[in-house]
Amino acid sequence: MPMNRREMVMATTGAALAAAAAVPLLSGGEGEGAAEAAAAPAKATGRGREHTERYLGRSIRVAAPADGGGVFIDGRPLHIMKFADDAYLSSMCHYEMAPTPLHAARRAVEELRGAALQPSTHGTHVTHL
Amino acid sequence: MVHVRKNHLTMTAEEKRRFVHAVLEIKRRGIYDRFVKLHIQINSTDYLDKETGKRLGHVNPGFLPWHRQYLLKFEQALQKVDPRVTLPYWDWTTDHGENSPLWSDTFMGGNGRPGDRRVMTGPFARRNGWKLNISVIPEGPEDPALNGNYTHDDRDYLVRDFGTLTPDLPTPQELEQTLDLTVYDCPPWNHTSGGTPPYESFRNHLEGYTKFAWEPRLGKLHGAAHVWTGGHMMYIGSPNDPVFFLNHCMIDRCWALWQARHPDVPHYLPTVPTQDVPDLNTPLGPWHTKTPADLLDHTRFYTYDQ
Repeated sequence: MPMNRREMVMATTGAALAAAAAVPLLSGGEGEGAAEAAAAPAKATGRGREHTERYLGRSIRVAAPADGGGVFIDGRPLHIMKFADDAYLSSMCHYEMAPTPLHAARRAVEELRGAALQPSTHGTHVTHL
Repeated sequence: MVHVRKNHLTMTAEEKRRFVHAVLEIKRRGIYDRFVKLHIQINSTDYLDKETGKRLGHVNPGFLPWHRQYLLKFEQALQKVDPRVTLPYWDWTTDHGENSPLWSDTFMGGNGRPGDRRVMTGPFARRNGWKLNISVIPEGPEDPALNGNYTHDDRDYLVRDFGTLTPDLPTPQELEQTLDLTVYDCPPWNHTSGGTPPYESFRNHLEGYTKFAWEPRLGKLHGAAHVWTGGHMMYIGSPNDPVFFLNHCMIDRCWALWQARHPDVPHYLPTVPTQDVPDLNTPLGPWHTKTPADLLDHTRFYTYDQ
């Protein structure tokens, strides 16, 4: 049985990242459960509220549409492409659709493995959420 | 006379050495990174609610002809360095596992190391000189998503993570069932096309954003090779990993195999002007020199060894 993505991150990344991963503020990011866990706050955002969480030691913010939308990791914008209300690609996960912007943000955090997104000169990155 | 593209498994050591040398040389000249940037620019505007223009390269019927022209341009750049070089392909229906000669130290190099997944072996390891330059910082007043200048991460080394996101590469049966489909593509010409019986989108099943009901998960064929390789192959800047071109050469070959299997059906759809997507006679950007119709017959440009 192969390890899932989260277990692999835990098993192979450095001590600091692993320690951070051990105490995500929002639980339920594992495997199949992630879809259900992430859907609720993402839907909340869809109704106009901002969502923030810490995931694997990184801060994620899904901005409210009224504030221009957008997904931010440690304050830096993540490029998100919307294909449908349940289908998003990001620059960090481009060959699998994520069901919500929050899923896309978490996948990006996993792919970054501690790396930082490049800073943007744009205060708000329009992501057509 | 047109040249022959081969399965890398049948190439001689000398042929593989020449290919790698040509790739490194166009990287040194800055040409390789222009191909990476172009893929990002096209890709970053290939989404449904973009403000202007048609989607071209991904998640639409243009996927196959756009990448055919992109690969032709790439191959021509290599041939300016060494006219004997042709693009190899990676037949991932049988060429499985990280012990394949594909990942040898003299060809693509190996998997990323534990932890940061940095590639440490072969010509495309950072320590052997392969430095990524595509972390494009947004510039200018335009929405960065529309000009390809948007955030990426700050790693300058290639990353691979074999088999973590999906344990399996495609199977011969998986490809056969997709090659058996008789319709190139269908409305709504996106990631949902052909997702239900009678599965009328060869393109979308090959691209891998849909699947047959009996298949366990999304991410088949083209998508599976990206996902199985992992690391940069998952990102919008996936051509940073040279194996991108071996995967897409295989995809291009699959289009040719499908055409040969179905000689009497339209080999590209839509044939009439259609909102948001290129039709048979739409010049494909950014080059605007060829239409899908011009690109249908690959034997005008090259052939495959089998």
